[in-house]
Amino acid sequence: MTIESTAIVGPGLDHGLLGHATRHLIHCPPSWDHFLLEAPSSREERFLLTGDTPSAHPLFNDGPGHFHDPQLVTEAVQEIGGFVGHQYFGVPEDRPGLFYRFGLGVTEVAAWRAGRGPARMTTELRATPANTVNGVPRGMDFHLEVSLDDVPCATGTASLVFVMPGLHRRQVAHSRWAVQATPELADEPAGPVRPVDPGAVGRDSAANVVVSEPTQASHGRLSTWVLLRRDNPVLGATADGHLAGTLLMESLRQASVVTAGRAVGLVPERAMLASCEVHFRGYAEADLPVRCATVPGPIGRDAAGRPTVPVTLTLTQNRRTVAEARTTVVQDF
Amino acid sequence: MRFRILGPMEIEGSAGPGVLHTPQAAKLRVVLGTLLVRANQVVSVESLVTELWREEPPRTATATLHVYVSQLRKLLDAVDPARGRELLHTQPPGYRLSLTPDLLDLTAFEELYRLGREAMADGRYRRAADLQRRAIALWRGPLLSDTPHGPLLEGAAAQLAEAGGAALDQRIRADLELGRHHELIAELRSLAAEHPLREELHGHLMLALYRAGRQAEALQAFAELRKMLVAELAIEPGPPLQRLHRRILAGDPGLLRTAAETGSAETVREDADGTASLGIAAGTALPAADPVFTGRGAALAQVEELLRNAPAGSFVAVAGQPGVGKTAFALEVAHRSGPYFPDGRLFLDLQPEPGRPLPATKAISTLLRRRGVRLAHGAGAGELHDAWQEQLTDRQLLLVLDNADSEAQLRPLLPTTAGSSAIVTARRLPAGLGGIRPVLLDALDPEEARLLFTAAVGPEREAAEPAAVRELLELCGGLPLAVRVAAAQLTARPHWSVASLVDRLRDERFRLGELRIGELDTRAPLLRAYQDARPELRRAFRLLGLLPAGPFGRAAAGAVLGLSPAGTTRLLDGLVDDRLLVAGDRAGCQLPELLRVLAVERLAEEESPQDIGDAIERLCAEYARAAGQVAAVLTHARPSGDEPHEPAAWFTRERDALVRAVRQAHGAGRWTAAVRLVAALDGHLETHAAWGAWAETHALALDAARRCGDRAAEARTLRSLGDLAWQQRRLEEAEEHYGLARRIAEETGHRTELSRALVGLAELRMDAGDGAAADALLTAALAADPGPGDPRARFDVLRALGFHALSAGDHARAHTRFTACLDLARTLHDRRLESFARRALRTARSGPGHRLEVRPGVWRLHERRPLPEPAF
Repeated sequence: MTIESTAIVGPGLDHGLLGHATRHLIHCPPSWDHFLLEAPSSREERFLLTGDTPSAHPLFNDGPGHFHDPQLVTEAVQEIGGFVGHQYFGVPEDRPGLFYRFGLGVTEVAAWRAGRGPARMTTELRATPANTVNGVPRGMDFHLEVSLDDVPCATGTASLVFVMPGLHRRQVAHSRWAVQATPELADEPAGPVRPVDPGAVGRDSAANVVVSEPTQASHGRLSTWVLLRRDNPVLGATADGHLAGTLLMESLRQASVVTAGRAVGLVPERAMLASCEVHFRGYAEADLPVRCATVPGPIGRDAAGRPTVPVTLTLTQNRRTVAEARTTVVQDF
Repeated sequence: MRFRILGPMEIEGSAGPGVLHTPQAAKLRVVLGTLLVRANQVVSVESLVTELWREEPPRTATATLHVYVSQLRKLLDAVDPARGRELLHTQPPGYRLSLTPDLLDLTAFEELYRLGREAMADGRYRRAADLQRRAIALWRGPLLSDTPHGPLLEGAAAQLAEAGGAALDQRIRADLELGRHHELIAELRSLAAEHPLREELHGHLMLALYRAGRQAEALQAFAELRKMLVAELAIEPGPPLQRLHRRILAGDPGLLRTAAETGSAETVREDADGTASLGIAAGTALPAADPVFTGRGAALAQVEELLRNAPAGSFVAVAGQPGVGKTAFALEVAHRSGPYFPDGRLFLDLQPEPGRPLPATKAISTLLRRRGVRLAHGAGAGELHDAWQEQLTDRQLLLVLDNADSEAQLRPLLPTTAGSSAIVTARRLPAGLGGIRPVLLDALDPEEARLLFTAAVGPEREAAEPAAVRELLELCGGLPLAVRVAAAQLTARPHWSVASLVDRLRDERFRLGELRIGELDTRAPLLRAYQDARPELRRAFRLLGLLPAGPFGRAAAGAVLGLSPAGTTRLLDGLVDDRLLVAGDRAGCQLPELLRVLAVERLAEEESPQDIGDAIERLCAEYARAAGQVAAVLTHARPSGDEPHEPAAWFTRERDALVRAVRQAHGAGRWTAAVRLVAALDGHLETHAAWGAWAETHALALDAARRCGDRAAEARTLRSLGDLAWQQRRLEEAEEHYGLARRIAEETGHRTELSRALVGLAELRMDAGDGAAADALLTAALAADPGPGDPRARFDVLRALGFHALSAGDHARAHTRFTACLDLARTLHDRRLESFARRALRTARSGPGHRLEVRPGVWRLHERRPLPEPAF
């Protein structure tokens, strides 16, 4: 991995905070030294993020409401990842933290079933500095353990890089130039695209649908387009003209659910992602279409006997890979 | 008068063998049979009733039993009118039949069997064979075969059938040693057919056939057995038989060697008496090496090297905790060292019966006899010593002296000249003897334990349940004896899963009881080691059972023992010498896992609740002291010199032990100790956000405070529970706890806790955006401020006032408040609060963002901008 070519997902703070109740982020220092002297840490630090799940979030509370959305975890890590680096590991404030890898595995599906009110979500984060140069880490690795109402229910990992401002600008410019300099690789929809029905991706609002009606390719493969919702603050573009992380993550979720539904008939209303591993490989420009290709795997069952479908996904823009992902869709009644 | 029960019951009276007095009535035979099996012991009325009628006795059972007993007395009177009636005594809670050993065939059998085993152990095979043959001859059929069996007789019959089988096995072994393999083959074929699942009989048959030159038939016998085991039970023959099979396949000449041929014992000369005679020099009398011995590679290499290059007068002493496998290790070394000791290798158990060490003279006599040397009866100690040293001089002999008890016992046995050497196993090192080369065996590491386990039960169990096997080996503490017992249990009960055995062993109250099967008993050697220790060490051992598993420091040990550091060190060193404790690095000492379990058992058995409670109280006080000291070091940066090592990691390291101590104090009703320790832990629990430990300890402390009527402690604990709930954002719960703390503090006039509870309530109101209510509560908190006597409470009030001002946009007032906080933190010499106050001041200057550090290390994340209109 090189920092220059892989860091592409901005923190999306503005989106992540919407609809959330007040939460606490607690730093539990293994040693008080750096805390007391306000010197940056050079080893693992532990944090707890706790608070109620949102009850009026425009995206995560849109749908039949059978489950809490596991994307809340990735949102939370995006929200505080950069802050932790700046506050506790001495990363200069002008270096934004950009995520390039996420992994989340649900360990207890039942805990994600939503009750009448919000649940108390606690995420334990163990943060370790990576690639430290002159005492300043260029990246961070996170290990996550999630509980809902005190029931451990998911574990995960996340990695981010801190990019120096000048380098970041050059990288953005180069990325844009590289995409536009190869018109022979252009990849666009053949005609107008039509969003899928909200119910097919587990949402109620058409404004939250971010994938188009898929077309069938060979061997059960599907191809769909990611839809930028400029009218929706949660699923829009960042100030520097890239697709927001939340939009990309939601497009992967929706494409997974559509694929599992079309391939083996899982009911979208009762489907959630039991696992998700995403590796971002480049920026997604807001003014170019993004194709999402999906390949369903054979249907299986989890330890409790629930049907599961693995899905492999690739996001491309002008035939250049933006992200690769593997997900597992589980159906739970 | 004679009683015979090894078969149908027979009672022979004074009239001689022609007249039998056996009772005709079955019930009467049951009563008499039961009393005979338990001869010279009291059999309770209850046991006799159960034996007669099992679970359904008639209402008149006791009266009927009295009638049977009366009839028995008449019968005994008829058998021997002179003294028959006196044999049966009424003795609460039942009856006792008094018999001299010569009157009952059962006692005669047991005596012959015991003597036969001793002769076998001494290498007197002819005598051993003769004694066991006589013992077996006493059997005329299954025990009391004409008598109905209740539970007691059933148990005795099973036990004695095993003993009968063992006597037969001993006799065959002795005959094999005497070179009688030709005569044995027919009998062994018959026995193997009669007992197809007794692998040792098949092994004897294979060996007899091999020695008779019928190697192919020996291999065929193995193949037939294997075929039958696979077909019937889906298992392979056990490791000993497989090892024998491999040796036959390899044509191992060692298998052909009998004691008669090697002359290592008195096989041919045992009848020579009166004068000393020299036996044949060469010969090996070693028990077989453990077929599943694994690991210990480095120690084996070390000892082999020591033996190869042993200077004159040196010997290897193998020491270690009970059950660690000293004997197996010594035998493995002895078997491997054969080429270096061409004149023979001898094994002697110096303590064949627990607690009764062999005197040195007896040990020398036995060793001489095994070398084929016989001295005149009544030879003196000097004569024995000279004869023994003569055996060792100019020879290359290896002695394996197992279970050495004392230096006095060992000294005369050890070689003093070059060429010969010895491996001594002992729990305590005989450090006073010159030439000692000590080797300490520790419990097996996880990988070695795994290898031993798979060698004993086969690889399938480990492959099927790897996690359960790992836990099982941890529960066994890596102790080879315990691992062997666990393996034997799984072998004997193929329907058990490893997980089910783990379930049985998890509860440490039952673990040692569960780690037992047949003659393999994990508790027995551990208990012997404990009982061998001096009383003051035994007490120390028991009290250390109060400490949690894992390493412990000398301060904690000193607390439970109630001793000074010097006195503690002396006792801990004594326990280490007795192999009841393992000395660690700076982290301290550690009770090996199963010894710790034994200590817990003994503590409950032998210490009074008062003494246990006192020890727990001392331990809590020590932990509270350490907690305070660590907090002082971390916040004041002022090392005092005697604080726990690595103070920053202290809480994480000791957390489980601290929670356990609170539980123990609460369980023992030591309310004040529990309350004080929890109060000392408050800051640590909050800083580490150790929610589970925080909730448990404070729930116990709250109950303790209420039970001992300590209202101030009750208020403090409730306020801390409020802080916990606030940190977790269980806001309703926090409000409830703070409210209760406030009420009690008001009732008792405890200003510090009143002030802190009001601050907590105010922060909840601030959280809800109710500035007016927060304002009123903070005003009340300021009024309750206890003053300069408690700057910590004042710090909290000012901190909350600062954030209240900040939320109202009054940055100048916030700055003033946080400046006052900084001054107070400096007064407190608390670096943590000082650092926090500086950050708060920076926030007051720059303005609050959507993240605000409202308490040290706790950030409140707010929404940053209003929600858009939902699009659905």
